[in-house]
Amino acid sequence: MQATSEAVRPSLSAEAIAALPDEALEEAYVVRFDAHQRIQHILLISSFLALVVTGFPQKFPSIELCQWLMDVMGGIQTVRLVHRLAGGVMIFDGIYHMAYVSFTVLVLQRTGPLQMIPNLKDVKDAVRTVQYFLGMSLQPPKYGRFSYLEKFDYWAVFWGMAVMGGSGLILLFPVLATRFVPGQVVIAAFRAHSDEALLAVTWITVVHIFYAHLAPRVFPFNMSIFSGRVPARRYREEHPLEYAQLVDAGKVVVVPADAPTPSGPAASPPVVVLPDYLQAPAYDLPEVRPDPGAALGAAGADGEEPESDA
Amino acid sequence: MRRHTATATSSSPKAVGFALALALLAAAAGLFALGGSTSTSRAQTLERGTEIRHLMEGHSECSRCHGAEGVRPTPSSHAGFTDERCRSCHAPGPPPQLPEEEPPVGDSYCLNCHSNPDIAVRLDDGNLLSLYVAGSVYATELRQSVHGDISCATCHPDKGAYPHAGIDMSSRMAYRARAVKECSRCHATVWEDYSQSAHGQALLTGKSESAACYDCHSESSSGHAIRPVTGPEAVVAPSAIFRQCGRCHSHELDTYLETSHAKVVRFGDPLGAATCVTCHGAHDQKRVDDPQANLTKSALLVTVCRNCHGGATENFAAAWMGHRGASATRFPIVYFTERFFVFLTAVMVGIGIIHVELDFFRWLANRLRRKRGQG
Repeated sequence: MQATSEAVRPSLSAEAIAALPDEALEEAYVVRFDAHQRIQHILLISSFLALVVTGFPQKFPSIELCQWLMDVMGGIQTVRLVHRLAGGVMIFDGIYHMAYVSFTVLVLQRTGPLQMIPNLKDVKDAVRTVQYFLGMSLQPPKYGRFSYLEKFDYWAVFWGMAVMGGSGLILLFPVLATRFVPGQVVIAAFRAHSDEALLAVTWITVVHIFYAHLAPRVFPFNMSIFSGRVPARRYREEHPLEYAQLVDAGKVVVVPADAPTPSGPAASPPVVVLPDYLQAPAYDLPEVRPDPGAALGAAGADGEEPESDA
Repeated sequence: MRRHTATATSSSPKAVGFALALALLAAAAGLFALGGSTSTSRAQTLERGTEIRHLMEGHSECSRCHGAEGVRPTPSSHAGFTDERCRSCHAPGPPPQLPEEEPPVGDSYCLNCHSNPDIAVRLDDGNLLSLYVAGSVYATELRQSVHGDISCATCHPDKGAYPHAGIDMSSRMAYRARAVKECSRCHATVWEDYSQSAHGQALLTGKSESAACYDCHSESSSGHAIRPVTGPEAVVAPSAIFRQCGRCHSHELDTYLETSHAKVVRFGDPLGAATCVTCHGAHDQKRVDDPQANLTKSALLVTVCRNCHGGATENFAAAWMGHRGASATRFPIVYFTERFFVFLTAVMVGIGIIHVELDFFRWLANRLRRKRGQG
C-alpha cells in the first residue's frame, strides 16, 4: 500500500496500479464500448421496442386490449408499416454490427471482438459460478472481457436477430421466398417469428433487464452501454482477468489531475483505463470531479476488497 | 458498409450523430423501397383499368341491404380489382324481385294463431317443430332485419290461408329445404349458385341438414332475423363471415384463425385478406374434393392464391396446410419448427430464471452474512 500514496503519475508501475485500492479508483473508469457499439445498441433498443409494440397486438387479435392498441396506433396498415420499418432498422443494425466486427478484426487487426467466441473456460466458469451461487465455492470464477453470461446473452440476441430478420423477410416476400424454398417454410417462418418474438421478449425482460437494471451492483441502471464507460472498481470486480491483462500490458493510463492531455488542458479524471482495441481517443473525456489526492489519501487504510469476505 | 466503418476511427459526437442519421436514413429508404415494390407487384397481378361495375346500380332495392346511402364507393384499397376479385368477397347479383301479387292475408291474420307459445306441429319423423312467432320476433327482430317491410305471406305464400296446403311435414330437413326454396322466389340468381353448391345439394337431396340461407345470413339461424350484407351489422361481410362459417366448421375456423389472413381480417380487414369465401366461394361452395373446386391440389389452388399473391407458384400454394395441423410426416418443416421453439423457449426461459434467482439469492445471502459478521 506504500506505493499508492505517490501513485498519481503516468509512470505508475503495473504492480502499483494493480494494487490500487477501490477508493483510488473512485473516479476512474474503463472505456468498454466505442461509439459504434453504443450506436448499435441504441438502434437495437429503439427498433426492438417499436417491433414489440407493433408486433404483439398482431399476435393476439382475440384480446380486446390488442384491438384497442391497434386502433390507437392507427390501424393494422399503419402498424404493419411501422413494424416493417423498425424491422428494417434492426436488420440494418445487424449488418452494421457484422461489418463493424469484420472491419475491426480483418482490417484493423484487432482481436477484441473475437473474445466473444465461447470456449471451454466459459463452460467451467458457468459450472463454478453456479457452485458459488449454491455456496459450494467461496469465490466466483474470474472473468475475462466477456463473462459466459455476457457471451450467452450476446449470442441469444444474435440468434434472435437472425431468426426474426430471416423469417420476417420471408413473411414480407412470401411469393419471392417460395421460388427458392419449399412452400411450407413460409408457414414455419410464421410460427418461428411468433414464437421467437415471445422468447426474445421473455429473455430480455427476465435476464437482460435484471443484469442491466435490477442486479444490486448496477441498480437502478447500468449506463455503460450508453456512455461506453464502466467504473474501474466495478470493472476490476466483474472482469478481473481482462483488467489484470490491461494493467500488465501497460494499457492503464494514470493521469494526474493537472496533466495536459492531447485535447487540451487537464480533463482531470485521476485514472483512465483504456483498452487499445477500442477505437476511442485516449483523452476525449468530459469533466469529472477532480481531487484524486483526497481519494488516494483515504485509500491506504482499507485495502480489502468487498467480495473477498464472501 | 465501407463508409460506416471509415467513421470508426473517430468517436466525436458529430461522427456519432452522422453515423446514426446515416443508419436511420439507409434503413428507412430501404424499407420504403421494399414497401413500394410489394404494392406494385400486387397491383400488377390485377388487370388495371377494369371498371368496377356495381351490379346494383339504379336499383333502389339495394339500399335495403346496402345501407341508406345505397352502394358505397369502392374503397381505395380495392383499386384495380377485377369483377372476379370483388365477387370472391361480395358475391353480388341482380337485386331480388319481389312478387307482384299482393299477399292474400295480412300479418294479423297469421298472428291470431302463431302468437300462441304452444303452437307446434309433430313432424312425421317424430320431432316437434314450434310454429310460435314471439311478439319480440315479429315486432323487433323482423323489423330490424332487411325484410322489415315484408309481410308474412310474402315468404310463406302457401300458408296464406287456413288450412295450410302443400307443406312437407316429413322431417326438419324437408322443412328447411322448403324454406330455402321460398327465399329463391325472390333471390333467383343466388339460387342458381346455391342449389348447385355443397350446402344446397346436401340439403335439397336430403343428404344432411346442411346450411340453409338463414343459417349464414342471420346470427340465430332465423329467417326472421336476416342481416344486411354490408355495414356494421353485417354477419357475412369479410370481417365477420368466418364466425358464421365457424358455427358449423369449428375446426376449420380454428385453423383459419391461426393464419396471417385471419389476423388482418380481424383487425378491420383494410386489405381484403382472404376469408372463407375467398377460397371456397360464397353461394357456390363445392366440397374440397369436388373436381369443380379449385382446392383439390396445389396446381389448382394456386389459381386461387394468385387472386391476391401475384406471381405465386405451385410451390407457394403448397404452403397451404388444408385446415389441418402439421405432423412429422405431413409438413415436417412446420412441425419440427413448432416443436423446436417450444423446446427452446422452455430451456432458455428456465435457464434465465434460475440463473437470475440464484444470483440474487447469493447476493442476499452474502449481505446477510456480512451484516451478522458486523453485528
